[in-house]
Amino acid sequence: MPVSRQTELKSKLLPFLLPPAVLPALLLALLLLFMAVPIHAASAQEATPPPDDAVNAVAAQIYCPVCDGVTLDACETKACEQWREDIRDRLAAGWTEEEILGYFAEQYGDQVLAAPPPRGFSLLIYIVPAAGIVTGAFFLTRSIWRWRTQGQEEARTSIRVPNQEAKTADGKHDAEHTGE
Amino acid sequence: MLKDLGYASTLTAFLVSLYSITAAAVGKKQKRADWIESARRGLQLLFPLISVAVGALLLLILGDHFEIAYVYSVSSLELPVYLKAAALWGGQEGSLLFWVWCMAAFTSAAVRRHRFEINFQAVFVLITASTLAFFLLIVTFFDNPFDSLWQLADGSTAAAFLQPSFSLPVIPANGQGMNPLLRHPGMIFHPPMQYLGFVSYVIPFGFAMAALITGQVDNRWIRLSRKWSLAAWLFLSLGLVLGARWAYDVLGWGGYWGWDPVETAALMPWLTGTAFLHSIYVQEKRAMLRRWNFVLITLTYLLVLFGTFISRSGIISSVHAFASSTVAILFFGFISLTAVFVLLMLYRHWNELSSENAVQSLLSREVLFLLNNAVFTGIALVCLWGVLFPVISETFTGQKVTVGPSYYESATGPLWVVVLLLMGIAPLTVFFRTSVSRLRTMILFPAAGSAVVLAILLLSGMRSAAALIGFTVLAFTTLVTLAEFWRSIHIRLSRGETIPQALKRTFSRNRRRYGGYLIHLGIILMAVGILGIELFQQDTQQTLKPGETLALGRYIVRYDDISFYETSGGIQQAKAEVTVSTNSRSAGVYLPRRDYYPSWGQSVTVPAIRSTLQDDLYIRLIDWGETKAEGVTLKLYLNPLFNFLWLGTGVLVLGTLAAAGPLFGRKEEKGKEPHACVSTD
Repeated sequence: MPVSRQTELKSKLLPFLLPPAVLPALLLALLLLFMAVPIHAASAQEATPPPDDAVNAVAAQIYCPVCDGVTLDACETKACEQWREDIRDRLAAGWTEEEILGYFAEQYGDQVLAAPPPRGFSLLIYIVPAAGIVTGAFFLTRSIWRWRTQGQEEARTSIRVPNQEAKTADGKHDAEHTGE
Repeated sequence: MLKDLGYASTLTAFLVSLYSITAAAVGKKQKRADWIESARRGLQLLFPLISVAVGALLLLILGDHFEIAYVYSVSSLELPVYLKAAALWGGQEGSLLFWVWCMAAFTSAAVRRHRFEINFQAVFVLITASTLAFFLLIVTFFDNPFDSLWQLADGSTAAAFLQPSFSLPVIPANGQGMNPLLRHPGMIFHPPMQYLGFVSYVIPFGFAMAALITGQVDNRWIRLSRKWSLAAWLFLSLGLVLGARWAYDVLGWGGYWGWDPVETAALMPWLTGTAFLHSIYVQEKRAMLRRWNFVLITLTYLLVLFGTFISRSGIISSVHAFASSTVAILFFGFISLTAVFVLLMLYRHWNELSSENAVQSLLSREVLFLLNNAVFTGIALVCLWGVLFPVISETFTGQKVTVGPSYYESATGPLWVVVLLLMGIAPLTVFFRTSVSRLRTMILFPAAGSAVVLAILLLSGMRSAAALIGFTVLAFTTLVTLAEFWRSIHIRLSRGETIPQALKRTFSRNRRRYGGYLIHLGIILMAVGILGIELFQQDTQQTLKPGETLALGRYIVRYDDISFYETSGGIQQAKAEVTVSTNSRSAGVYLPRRDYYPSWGQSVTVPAIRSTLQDDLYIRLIDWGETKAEGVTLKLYLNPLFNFLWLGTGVLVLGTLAAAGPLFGRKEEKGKEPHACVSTD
């Protein structure tokens, strides 16, 4: 009984309990399938190369390595034309945008990138303005606050202010500005 | 000999500037008014002297004297006359001479226009003559535009003023001609405007230093500076916009501004200069920010020197860096020296500069102006960091990096929004203290109006956060500004004035305020154009056979034909013919072109642009086959709302003229002319 029950169970689970040799074969098939997909995709793209717009989208993010200050999509030199074709070939071969940017940075240095990669010394380009703005805002707030405290004390001892307030509050908007 | 005349007058000008410096210094020290007066006359002599040199160089260029190295390098026989004239500032040496000429014109006008107290005059002459002497030093001894070409004994060619021994004069039959990118009508207007903007800041800086050193630190130097800094600001604004237009027409990437180091360096003094225009107003009205105004005008002046240094030294290479020379170290030294000098002076006089007043309410115009100053200075410093970082990085790590638009856009974008918002809030406030109830009534209509704009944008399907924020803030600021005009005009109309009368008197009663508001409206229009192109630009590129079309936005572009020419000047042109249509209606034939300059090995794109208030269609010829049938590659850019940028510039100019001069109002009263600093000693 227990035996027959065991076989019954086995027969039910048969689809899941595959013989040991099947598993590697299946894995291999899967692997081949995955490998085949990019090959297939690439060969499909070779027939119709990536359009200019796709190339320019990447090229616009790369600065010309030989003429400063011009991005590859706008550069008119022969060299840049070749680089654009290089980008087209790589796109056709299935490279991603990041891979192509990385490749150009590796080949021609970080200066071909529109902004320095955020690592090492180049982190400073991002940290300094952020820190500067925060610090500046802090000191500005503090000094305005101090000025106000000082000013409020002065105002208490001055009669000028209520006059001014009255002047501007009763609709004579121009009054404060009359003089050149 | 024009060459000798030109050089002799430059050299004389240099010596006279040295004389003026000495005479002013001696006169101030020994309290000798005659010496100081003599120094002033020396300063006035510089303008005619340098004019002779500029005239000589111009005649040399127009007369095709290619034996002069400068003429050879910037001009050629086939250049049209207007470009030959513009070749005066087309290269390093000539542009420095032109720079110093503009500065001499301004300083000479300043000492002619104003009568100063004698000590004040001494320092003013000392400061301006020193700057002039520095530039004359460079023009006379380092970048001499009057050098001739010589063939040395070893066969090489060199440029020198005097004939080197064993050399022969070289007289080329033709010059190299101007860099193809500079051959554009914009070349006539953009550099002079930029230079005028740069050099005119020396005047307010001179006033500031004179006030600081002589201890006349009240508001007089501010009143003297106002019109000069307004003029400088206008020239600088025009220089920037004309440069943007030039880039748009010539550089061929469908854009107008690339955050190129030279562009950014020209923007920085504009930013601090804008802050200065606001902060001097606070000092005049509230006797506050006295120290800050000295710091700000110095910063502006240093940024002007830095901008000249960047564009002239080639230390940071960019599309503008057609110049590379030995003046870099001199410039660096002069900038550092000036900075150290001003710091010392500020340190010495710091305690005399304490402000008379303090802030009484956070809700006051002075606090908002202070915020405006902080934000403008912040943007300038963020820009400075972006320009300097590649140099710093290369110095410390050896790694060259590029700091491109993404840095500037993300770092300054939020700050620009704050600027626009402040522009909307500040007019609602008054000096000293704004009552909350007043603010509430005044803000109601603009706030409601901008909420309606936001709702319309959302309903029309706009989802870009930047666009929603940008346009809503712009709507708010526009409504506040228009309401300010309306309030004044409304009161006048109710008094029985006609509309033109009311408009005229609004400006003439307080031209500074309403001129300022008109400038604000100009800036708002410009911002609309900038938001349009920055956030909604589209582009596409494709190769077309004859009859095929390419669509972008509402436009359809059909390739019809291509033709090839060679001009008499040897320029090889490829000109495509395309038909543009919208909604199946023809919008005309356009001719995008590519010019190739064989002698330079360089080609220049001449885009065809269909311009409407709604958008610009920018057509660029990228590539072509040998025959018509092989087709052409076109790149199209669609730049929505872009023309608002130019429209806004026009309003900005009108506003500045209204704020400065008697264009809309009565003539300046004689008694009001701020002949400051008269006989206080």
